[in-house]
Amino acid sequence: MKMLFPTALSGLASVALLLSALQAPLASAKKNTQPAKTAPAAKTGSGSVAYADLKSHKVALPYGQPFTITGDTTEVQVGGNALKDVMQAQTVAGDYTTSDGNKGTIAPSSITGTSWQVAIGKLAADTSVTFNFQLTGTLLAGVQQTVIASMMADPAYKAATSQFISAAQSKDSVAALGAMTLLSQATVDILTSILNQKGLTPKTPADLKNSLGPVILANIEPIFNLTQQFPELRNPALHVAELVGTDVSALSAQQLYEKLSGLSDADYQAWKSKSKQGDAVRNAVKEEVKRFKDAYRSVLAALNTGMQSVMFQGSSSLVVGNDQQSDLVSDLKKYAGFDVGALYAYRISELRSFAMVHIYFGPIDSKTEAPLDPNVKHPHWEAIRQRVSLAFGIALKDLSGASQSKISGENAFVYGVGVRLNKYFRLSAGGMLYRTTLPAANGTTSPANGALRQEIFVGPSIDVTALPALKSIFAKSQSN
Amino acid sequence: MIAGFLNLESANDGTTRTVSVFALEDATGGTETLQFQILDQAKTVTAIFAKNEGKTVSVTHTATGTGLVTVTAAGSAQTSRRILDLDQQPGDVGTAVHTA
Repeated sequence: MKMLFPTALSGLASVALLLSALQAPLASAKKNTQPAKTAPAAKTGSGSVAYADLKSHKVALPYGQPFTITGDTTEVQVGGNALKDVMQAQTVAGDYTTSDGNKGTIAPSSITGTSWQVAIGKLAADTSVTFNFQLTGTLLAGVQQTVIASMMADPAYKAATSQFISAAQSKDSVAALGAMTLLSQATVDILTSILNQKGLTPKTPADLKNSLGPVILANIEPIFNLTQQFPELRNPALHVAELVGTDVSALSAQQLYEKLSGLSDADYQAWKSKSKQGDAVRNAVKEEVKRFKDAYRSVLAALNTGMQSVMFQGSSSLVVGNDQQSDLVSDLKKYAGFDVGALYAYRISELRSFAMVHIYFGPIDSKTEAPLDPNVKHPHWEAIRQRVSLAFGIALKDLSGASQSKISGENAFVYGVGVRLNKYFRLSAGGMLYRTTLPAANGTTSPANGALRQEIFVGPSIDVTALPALKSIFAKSQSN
Repeated sequence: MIAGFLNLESANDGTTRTVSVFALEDATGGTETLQFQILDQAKTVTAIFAKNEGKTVSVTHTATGTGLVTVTAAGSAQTSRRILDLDQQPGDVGTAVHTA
């Protein structure tokens, strides 16, 4: 008895080591979900979570109940741009898909100022979720500036202008009008494509075409001429770089416009004193600068007119929860449990550590200690099915301090039935198969030595798949 | 050789229609031949340039309506193109008012 206690302690230490060993693969599989694992429990299941907290993995999803996501438009990105920079958002809607294949719809909700809130349905435990938010509103004026620059650099637009030149060259005004109409249509398509690339799509595509089409056709002259003026002003022979104080060859149309808009008469005077150009050239450049700026403003106003009345949608995705690897582990946990514990074999008087896999009779929700579900056809059988499992495993080291174990090689196969008492603990019973190691008596080896034998066992165990949560609870209580 | 063009534009005083361009000569100087294509009407004009000189060259024409106007220079890769309304007269609605 004196020896039993320290030996049992040593055995428990062995079980602890075994727990760590069994946890290692799970921990490895979950290494990408650390933030969710350490999420503050207080915010989980509160019924409302902040979009920013979900995005930065500061909170876990409130599984098992409907909840709301609240946010601010300043926190949302569409197409790589901050939503607040591109759109005056008015409504938010969308949908979501969970890792177990379920889909849900996010009902449209009005945005008050910059604040928004959406309702999400009940999510199954441990699923990861991809939210697709659709934000609808009108474009902000700043978008047109970037759209002009993108349009002029777009290969499709360059091709469209080349096609126009080929079609309109040496033609009268009637033929030219046809070519300008085609250029306008191509320009509308290119502008739509550029907006799409920025994550902005018209809520009704026909609206944009109907609104932008006539405006572009009416302004095709400044649009085309701006495209032609741009390279002429960047011609090194004109020395515009000396005027604006920077290399103009790499500037976009928007950047060049901003540089030229910042020029004062003093800048032109300074250019005159240091430039080798004559007055005629400098005056011509000054005139072309005015025309370029006029054309730029005309195009900007045209795009504003064509787009301001059109409702646009911006998409923003948010993936919350587990990664694919951990989803697999979460899914596996619905069908099998991995336990370690101690078993007692009465007939051979041995207490041994063991590791087992428990196979359920279908998917279970170990986190829900729910009352009987009236929607299930046989709720009592369902309750039993949720708790009972087939068990297979191995019995490991002796914990009772037996000086001579009867089990050959210390390992034995165990099988039986497990009953889950709660989320973490289980009671298992069944048989233990092993080969005997019997001591020789009077120099004679027993004929039973090495024979395959079976013992009945019973013992408690702990579900190691639930341990990460258990660990976080202990860590929290310690930190509190 | 022409090194660059600027300010390709149209003028119409109700009697005479002209298209003009500012042309910049490079360091060679000499006589340059400029070819204007004013919608469906082609016009050629020669002008004498001093080294690095820039000046406005104009041609008269009878083309009407809005369309593509192009000017090129013989022996140079420089080209200037604009869509121009050749009928527009000073004071017409839509006539550009240039601002600084």
